[in-house]
Amino acid sequence: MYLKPEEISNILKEKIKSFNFNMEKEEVGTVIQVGDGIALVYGLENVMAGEIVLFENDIKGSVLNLEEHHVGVVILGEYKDIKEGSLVKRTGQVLSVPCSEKLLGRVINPLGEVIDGKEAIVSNIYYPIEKEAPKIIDRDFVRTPLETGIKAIDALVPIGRGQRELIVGDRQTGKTSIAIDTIIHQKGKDVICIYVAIGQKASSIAQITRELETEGAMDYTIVVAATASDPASMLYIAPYSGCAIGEYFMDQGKDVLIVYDDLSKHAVAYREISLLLRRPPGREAYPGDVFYLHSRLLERASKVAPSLGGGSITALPIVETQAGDISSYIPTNVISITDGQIFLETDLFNEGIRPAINPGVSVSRVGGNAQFPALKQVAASLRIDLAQYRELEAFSQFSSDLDIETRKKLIRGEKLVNILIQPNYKPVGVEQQVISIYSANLGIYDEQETEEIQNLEKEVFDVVSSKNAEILNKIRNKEKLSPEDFNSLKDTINGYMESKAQEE
Amino acid sequence: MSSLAVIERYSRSLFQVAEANDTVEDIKNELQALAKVFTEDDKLKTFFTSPGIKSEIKANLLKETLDKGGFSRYTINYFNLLMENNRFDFNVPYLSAVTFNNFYLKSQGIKKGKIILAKELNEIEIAKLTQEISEKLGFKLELKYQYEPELIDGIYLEIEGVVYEDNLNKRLVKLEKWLKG
Repeated sequence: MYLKPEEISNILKEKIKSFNFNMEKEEVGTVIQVGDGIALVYGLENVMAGEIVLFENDIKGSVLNLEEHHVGVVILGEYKDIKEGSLVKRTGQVLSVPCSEKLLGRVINPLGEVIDGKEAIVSNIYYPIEKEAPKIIDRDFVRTPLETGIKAIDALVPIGRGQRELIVGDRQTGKTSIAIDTIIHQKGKDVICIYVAIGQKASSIAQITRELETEGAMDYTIVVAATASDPASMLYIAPYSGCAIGEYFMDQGKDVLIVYDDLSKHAVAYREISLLLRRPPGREAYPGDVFYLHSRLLERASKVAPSLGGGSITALPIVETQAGDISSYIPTNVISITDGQIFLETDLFNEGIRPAINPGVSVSRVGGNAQFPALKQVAASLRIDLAQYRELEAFSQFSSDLDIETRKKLIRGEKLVNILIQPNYKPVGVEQQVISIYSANLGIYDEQETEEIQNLEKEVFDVVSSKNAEILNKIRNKEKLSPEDFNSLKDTINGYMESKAQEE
Repeated sequence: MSSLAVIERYSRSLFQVAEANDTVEDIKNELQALAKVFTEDDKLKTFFTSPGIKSEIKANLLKETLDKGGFSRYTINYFNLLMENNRFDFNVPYLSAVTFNNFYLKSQGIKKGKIILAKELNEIEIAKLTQEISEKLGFKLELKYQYEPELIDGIYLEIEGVVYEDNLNKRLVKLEKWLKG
């Protein structure tokens, strides 16, 4: 923009004229100690817990501790410029994030500031990051499925819109991949996705964002990023701001999927803040309210009643375990808050079973009501078959000594496990899932080599889509399949297998 | 911080005793006089902070000073108690005077504050200004005046954590921010 000197002078004159002469009244305090992202402030007698205060240079802080002689403030940003004796101003406001449709496709920090180098977002609507969860009476049942596109999840641990399903497992077991696949699969399903990265490497976040962009998922996704280099305070508020943005969309009656990746790092960040604020440490040095830290966050994920718009927030929190120990402090806490968990195992992952879901320990407490009826019909026996297979697996090495029945069960189990294997970023629709599992139940893969299963699975689905399109419609429209439908499917699949056998 | 918290508790008790016996003003003046001596006299500081001098000698000196100086019974007892409980150090007289004065101001409904102006004022003018501000705000005030030419024009008034501000310097800073966008 080029301005002439006269224009600048006019602007200045106008600006000076329009200065109001009212004396400003502000409540201030003084920094008495600062360090590690925490400031102790003297004064600010009327400040509220959770209120935003402004340091010099307009750096924000959030009041966490109210004590007799001072208040404890977490600094939300760079704290190197804050010195002893600096003034701290009250704002009278609680921490809020700007909410707008324009956030879709963007990467923001927990304060709602864009960090993807594109233009800033201006919004008049602000949502407080800490908000009470919907009341009992305002909630509705979880009854609509949220497809993840992952066969093992949709069939065994189905997730409904408004549910909280924990993804738990050791490092490098594919936890994030499940979440990303789920986001990718929401394309065209009218679900807004929010991916909250807590304490992750900036390079990982960049990679995830790029992957989402490549798959065309950024159109309906917002990434809230607090990287490993951000102060603990930013990591602490990240999931709450993600949730606040989710609530904005939920209030408009939309369905939201929010991934918290991951809550163990969130708990560690909160532990850091709490210890610096000299709150008494408890088990594993976590503060006493670490349960409340996660429960108040996950309780905000809900399906609200139609009278309130009928929107929902589905939460997929991720928790990392150490050496598969789900009985440690944070995993047990989050397991008890959520409506089920997807447990990933390193051993399965190394065996090539990916997603490495352990069907024995993974559960979904409410998702069953939200599962596609046809998928429920075909997957009913899946869990038992897999459980039996796991039991017999130990004997598989003595296969020659086993009776035919046991050998059959072992083969079926092995093929079922193979059917549930899925590559990264390749989610499949519910129709294909039903056909795959049904055809596996029919035993068509029992004679096949493992490498050929995926191709055959695809071929079978193509045949069924051309011959039984109306059944696929029924599946998609959440209708139950009748015995006739199953017979017709059976005929198509067996017919194809016979013709294929003849060709060979 | 912890030392201030401890002294605050002791001086609160002294204030309550003084209030009950109607000697608040006297004790306040005594404490302030003692605080002045302790803050202004460097030799006294060296004596009281020296690790080479036994604490009994320090205690005896203070006791004698208080006795001979004609201090009231409560003030003497107050310092004796602090010494008995091993709470006395060089800063105690000053902290006692400050905290006692705070209790006094609070009991009188007087608020402490700071006023910064870009104009030099004499004591009469300051008193008049304090009086006017006090009338406007509806409470008694004890203002500390500071001359600061950087304000250019206007006022900066701080009363117990509340700042009333309108000066040219602040407006220029605002203008600068606005111009920078």
